Amino acid sequence: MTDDTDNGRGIVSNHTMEIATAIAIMIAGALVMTSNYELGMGWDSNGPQSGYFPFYIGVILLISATGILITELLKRDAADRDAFVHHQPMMRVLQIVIPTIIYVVAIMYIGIYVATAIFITTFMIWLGKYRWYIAVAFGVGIAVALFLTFEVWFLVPLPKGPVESLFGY
Amino acid sequence: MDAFLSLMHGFGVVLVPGNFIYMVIGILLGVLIGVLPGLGAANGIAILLPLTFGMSPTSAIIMLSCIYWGALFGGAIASILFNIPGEPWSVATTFDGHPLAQKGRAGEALTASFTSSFVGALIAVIIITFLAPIIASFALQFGPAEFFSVQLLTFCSFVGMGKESAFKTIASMMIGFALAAVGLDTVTGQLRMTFGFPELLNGFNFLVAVIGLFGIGEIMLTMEEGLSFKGASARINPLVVLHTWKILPRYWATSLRGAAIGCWLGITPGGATPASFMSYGLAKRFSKNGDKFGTGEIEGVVAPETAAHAAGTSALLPMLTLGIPGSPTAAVLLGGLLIWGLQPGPLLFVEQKDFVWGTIAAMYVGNVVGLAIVLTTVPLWAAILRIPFSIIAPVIVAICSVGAFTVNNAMIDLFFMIGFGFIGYVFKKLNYPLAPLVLALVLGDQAESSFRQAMLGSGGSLSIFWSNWLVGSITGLSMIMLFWPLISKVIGLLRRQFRTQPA
Repeated sequence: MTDDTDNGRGIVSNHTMEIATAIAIMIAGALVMTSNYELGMGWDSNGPQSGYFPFYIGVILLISATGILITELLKRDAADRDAFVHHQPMMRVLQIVIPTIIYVVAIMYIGIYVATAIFITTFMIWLGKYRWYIAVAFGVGIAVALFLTFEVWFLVPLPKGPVESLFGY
Repeated sequence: MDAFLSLMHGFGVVLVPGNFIYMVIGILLGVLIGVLPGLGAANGIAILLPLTFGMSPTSAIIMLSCIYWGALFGGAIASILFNIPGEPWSVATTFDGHPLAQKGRAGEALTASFTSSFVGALIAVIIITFLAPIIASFALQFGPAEFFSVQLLTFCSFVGMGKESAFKTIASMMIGFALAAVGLDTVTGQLRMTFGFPELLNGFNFLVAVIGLFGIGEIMLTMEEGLSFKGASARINPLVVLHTWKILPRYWATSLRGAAIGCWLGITPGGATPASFMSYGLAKRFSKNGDKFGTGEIEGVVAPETAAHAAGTSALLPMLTLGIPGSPTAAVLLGGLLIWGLQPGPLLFVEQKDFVWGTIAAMYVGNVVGLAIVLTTVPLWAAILRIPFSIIAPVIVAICSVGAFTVNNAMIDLFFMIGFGFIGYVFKKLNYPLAPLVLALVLGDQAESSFRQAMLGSGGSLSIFWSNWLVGSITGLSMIMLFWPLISKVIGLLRRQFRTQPA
């Protein structure tokens, strides 16, 4: 890419990423094959065994991933040497990925509504540079709207924590 | 004539006030989903699907399919005003749509795009109305071998028609099949590939996969691009609409060609995205103003929009008649049928007349209502697009999480969702197609059971897939599709040789 300077250095090349993905899929294919081989991929008195269909899926998976790997190893074009992701954009991706993981873990302990309010509020203050009271109002507003939609209107229970039980839910 | 009467009956089902309201809600939600980056039709419907468990299947499909029409309309708004395709199939709309908006002709571009979407959909629905009952009654004679061979054709078409590498298409498809096989085998009651984790007992739900692949993955991509929206302002007044409608009939040939391409690629699972590009490319080649394409030609908006909407609509034809979806969104709707307790396939036309014809009538009414809604509400959606991504991103993540949780009320699904998000992100960047993965995940169990039944019938011999002319020709066609990348290469080579020889 020409915009190397804007986005910082490249982290990993497309070439490397292609190879890594292909190898990961090959491992998955091998795993599918062995697991179903152990289960039985032949015939018994009732017809095909459980592993029959998935075993061959594993075989095709392994073959196609090998095909991807070979094509990639033979390829010699410039675009392939380009970075898969640059430093700056990767930081931006992590800005959403890491909070998302924390958010999902938090849902287990404090319930989805409180976690959502905190998640949206922090995100708005941190990345959106909003004033805290606007962010809080928005975060709490979305959480309340979710609560009304799911618990009250559609009667679909979502994970709840200590705060909700305080209100008797 | 029979189809016509059934259709009239379907209109009766749709025009009940309750269903009509679901339709309008569906369209509004759909446009919103289509406008916002990171929320597509497939995962938007996946998120809302659990909410419809309590509704009657007919109301549910009316609402969910209207989300689909809404999203098809909505994708164009973001493309034309902001040069950001809200959906992959509206990428081609940006080529001429955005230049038009920059010239201050956004109203014309939007009217042209909505109207041609509408025309494309209408042609596709008319084809569905008359073709679907014929295909369904034909398919009633199908046995397991025929069903498996049709499914084979669907999957092989991805290889033959996709522009991605054939190996990548196959790999992505096989990952879907493998994931579908995880968990309890319903035939023998054995556990497969759970590797000792009780969480994997129920396998991977395709809704969670769709939400992760398309929702979380898309958010990651959007964050990476670091979007800042700079949009053209838009107002549509009745004068502009009338003026544009006066010009549009000039492009009837482009429209018809677009609709034909769209229907073809929608029924065979090529999908709306390649259809829009192909239609744009052909319009550019055939138009008198072909060299001006890309600078803001109305015709350059008409071509991709007609094709995309025709493809999106006709993708429901194989879903309704054969139980085989033509696009990821159709796959999610098909999953919905299973959840509502309907058995997809040709029997639907016999046993669930209300459902089938209600769905088809909803396509007509939904598109008319949709056209009216989008023409009148453009400023609203433009305003929503100006909301900064630092608000939209966490809200979409929260909505995706709620959606993934409600599928099975299982916490583990949220972690699967993030996992699928990573897969979606990496696969998109490396040009692995995601649609085959989703379709394989939805159809995996069905394909396996029809394969097993066919094998049982034949005693394990693959020759059953060539046992009569019907199954044989479908299997044969599948093989041509599967090896098409190779065949076309050979043809290309031969042609080049042929050309150089005389010299």
